[in-house]
Order: sequence, then C-alpha cells, then structure tokens
Amino acid sequence: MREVTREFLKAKETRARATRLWRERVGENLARLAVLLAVLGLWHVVAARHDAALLPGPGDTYAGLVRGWSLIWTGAVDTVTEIALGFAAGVVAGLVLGSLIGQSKTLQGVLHPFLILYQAVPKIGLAPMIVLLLGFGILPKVVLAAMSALFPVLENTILGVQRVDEDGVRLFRALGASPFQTYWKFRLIHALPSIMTGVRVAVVLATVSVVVAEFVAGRIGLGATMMVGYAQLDTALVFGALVVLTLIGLAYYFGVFLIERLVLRWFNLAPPARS
Amino acid sequence: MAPEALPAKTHAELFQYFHDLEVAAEARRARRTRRINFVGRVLLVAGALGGWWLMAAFYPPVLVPSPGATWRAFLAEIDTIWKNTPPTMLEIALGFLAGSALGIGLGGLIAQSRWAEVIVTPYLVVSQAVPKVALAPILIIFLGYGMGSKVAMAALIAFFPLLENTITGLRRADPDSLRLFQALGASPWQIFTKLRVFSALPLVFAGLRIAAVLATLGAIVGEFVAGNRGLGALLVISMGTFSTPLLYCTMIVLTALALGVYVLAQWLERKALERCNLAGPGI
Repeated sequence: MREVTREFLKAKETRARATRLWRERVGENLARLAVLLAVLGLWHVVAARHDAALLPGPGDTYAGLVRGWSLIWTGAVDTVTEIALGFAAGVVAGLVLGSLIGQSKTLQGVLHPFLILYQAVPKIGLAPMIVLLLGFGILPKVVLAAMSALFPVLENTILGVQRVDEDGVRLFRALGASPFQTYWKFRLIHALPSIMTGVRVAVVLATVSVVVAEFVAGRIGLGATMMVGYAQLDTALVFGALVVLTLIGLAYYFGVFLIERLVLRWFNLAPPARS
Repeated sequence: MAPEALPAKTHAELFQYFHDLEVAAEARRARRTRRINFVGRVLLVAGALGGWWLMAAFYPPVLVPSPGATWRAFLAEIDTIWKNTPPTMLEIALGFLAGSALGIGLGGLIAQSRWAEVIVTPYLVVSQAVPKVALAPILIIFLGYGMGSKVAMAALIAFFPLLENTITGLRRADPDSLRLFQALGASPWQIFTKLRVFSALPLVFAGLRIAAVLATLGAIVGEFVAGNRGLGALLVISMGTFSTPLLYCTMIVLTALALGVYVLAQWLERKALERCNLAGPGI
C-alpha cells in the first residue's frame, strides 16, 4: 500500500479540487447549452404560429438557406473578401499613421480635435457618399471598412508606443541603437498588447461597415443577399443569410483573438490589463 | 550668473526668483504650443477645403460638387433638411431610452443570480462579435416601414453594451466594503442599493455614453435600409437620385448631429460622475 505521506495527501486534495472545478465547468457549459436549445425551441414554437414569410422557424430558415445557397455562397465569398481587405488596409494604415503621430508630440497636439472628430462621427453615415463616388462594386465596401478599422488601431498604436518603459528606451540608446531600431525593435513590439486590442475592435467595426455598405449599395455580398430576400419577401432567405453573416462575424473575431494570443506569446508579452 | 548679480538676498528670495523664471518659461512654452496647434489646425482645415475645391474642379459636379455648390444647395433645400431632422433625433432618443432601460433593468436582474450571470456571460462576449446591424432588414419585416423599426434597431444596438456594463459593474463591489456592510447589519436590499449600485455607477454611465453613440448608429442604419423620413433616409434618397449637393449637405448635418450626441453624452457622463463624487483619474 502506498505510504500516506503529507505529499500524498496534498496531491490527493489537489486532484479532488481539480475534479470539482472540472465538474463545475462541465455543469456550467451544460447549462449554457440547455439555454441555447431552449431558445431554439422557443423560436420554433413561436414561429410555428406565424406565417413563414413573417417569421420562419429554424426549419424554414434551413430550408431557405439550402434553397438560396448559390446566392448565399457568392455573397459570403464577397463579404469575406471585403472584410479581409478593408480590415487589412485599415490596420496597416492605423499602424503607420499611429507610429508617425505617436512619435511627435506636435502632431498629437495639432491633430487632437480632429482625432476626436473622427472618432465621434459614425463612418457608416458616409456610406452613401462613398457609394456614389466609388460605385457599387467591392471598392466602396473596402474603403468604408478601412475607414472604420483605422481609428481603433490608430488610437491604440499612439497610446501603446508612448507607454513603453523608458528604461528600455535608454538601454537601447546606450547600446547605440538608431532611433529607427529603437522604434522597430522596442517601442512597437512593446506596444503590441495595446495594438492588438485595437485590432480586435477594428475587425468588428470593419464587419459592421461592410454589412451597412452592402445594405446601401447592394449587388455584392451577404448584405445585398439580405436585401434581395427582403424585397422578395423571402424572409427565410434573409434569416439564412443572417445566420451565415453571424458566423462570418464570429469567425473573424475569434480568428483575430487567436492571432492576438499567438502574437503576444511569440513576443513573450503579457496580455493587456482588462480595463 | 554671478551670485552678486542675482536680485535676491535670502534663500527664500532665491527660491522665489528661480520659481518665477520657471513659471514664465512654462507659460512661454504653453503659448508656443497653443500657437503651433492653432496654426496647424487652421492649415489642415484650409488644406481640406482646398483639396475639396480641387477635386470638385477635376470631377463632374454629379460626383463631387464644389463647396460653393454645396452651400447653395444647403440654402435652397434647408426646409427639406429641417423637416427630416426631428424624426432622426426622435428615433435616437427613443432608441437610447428603450435600450438603456432594458439593458440596465435586465443587467440588474441577471446580476442577482450567479447562475444567470455565468450562463449569460459567454453569450454576451460572443454577441460583441455579431454584427447586430445585420438585423435591420428583419426588424423592418417585423415592425414595418415606420419609426418603430428604427427605434427598435437603435435600442437593440444600444442594449448590449449597457447590459454587459451593468452586470460587470454590479459585480465589481469591493469585497472589503461588502464585509463591512454585512458586519454593520445591512439588509440585502441596503447592500444592493447603497453598495453595489454605487460601485456600478461609473461603468453604467460609461455604458450610457456608448449607448448614445450606438443608438445614433442604429437609427442611421435603420433609415438606410428602409426609410422615407429622417436624415439617413434623405441620404439614401439623394444618393439614388444623384442629387449630390443635397447628399453632401445632409451628410454634414447628420455628422453634426452625431457629433452633438457624442459631445453631449461625454459631458453628461462627466457631470453625473462629478455629482456622485466619482470623478477623477483611475475610476
């Protein structure tokens, strides 16, 4: 028989606690799943009492999805492309501009009210103008998404590159690093937690902007597919497109979340403090 | 400076002398910064206007009307714009009130039960990633073409951040303060109103500020998708009829409205925090 030592008892207690926590977590997740199923069931019950053209239930939505699949698939591909391009453009622009502005107190002082203005104005309100200027294709959606994604990255880059540990900067300078090297290898890297938070916000804003631009411009993307279904009173198609759109939004958000984790782990940085 | 040249005899006078020099230098630096900021901003605005004028010279007026044409259109169409502003403002206000009331109310309820909070939290996090504006066509199918669907859209978008902030805020009560309240024999109701609600106030006010901006967004998107009244609807209509000067005017007015909502919300949040003695850094 194993000797009942102090270490043995402590290990047993740790295992017991771990098991208890695991069971608690499983219980929580089961409860969440149960709530989800209950909501789906409620949706089905309520929808059964209404016309499918007004409120399609889960089954009708799936049928509509299958029926309109070609339309939804092309729309999904277009929307995914638009979000990717707009988001990438906005992030890159935000990083570059944020780096420049963050290094210059003069620029910050001059631009401060304009930055606030840019933040306060919903870029989505500019959608009709941009559609008028750039047409009904992919470009206006990409531009609007880039404009929306720009600000969070810009602001967080400016904050991030300013808040680095000054001792590190002095060390770099003492070792003879050029300003560019100090920036590229130190400030920017240590600003990454803050920047990645901005990037996460940016992807959500880019998604929303793309959807709204597709509502306004139509013709391309899942938003346009929803408008087609809306015009034809094919509500199941609208619901189906909404489900796919939701999945795309979630995929992008959690994709960026994973990238954030990977990047922070690669550079050995702590995740940003939760405000 | 030779010690004899300084206009100071005692230690205190010396200190005062250098202090005054430093204060004067600070004031000079501040004045210089203000001047640079002013000149820089004026240059930027002038550059933007000049750029606009230049683009209007190169592009056909149906795409880019000149600043002058836009101003003339504003004077000509001011009735239309004026008539369409109240519906939008009403949608924003009602949507904000409805979304806030629902968000705070539901948040208060959910925060009472640890199980409810545990179940709801991951769904809340996930809902941040979902583009809620995509629900606009569905809301219009349910609620029709009128103001109700826009109010519902604004309320729906404004609801979520308030729900989340209320739940987080109510959970945020300092455990030591909680023990103090319990030690002094406070009833659960007293603990709730005097401690939890008070600790939640900064987050709730911040949530209200976010909700105001989001309600504006929701109202605008609702009008984009289906509207015949309101500034957003006017925007889409003028886009469709290629009345570009009217489009630009309406856009400027709508931008001003959104900016007004933002500034008002910021100011109200500051004032509310100050009144509750919660203002200050780090809150």
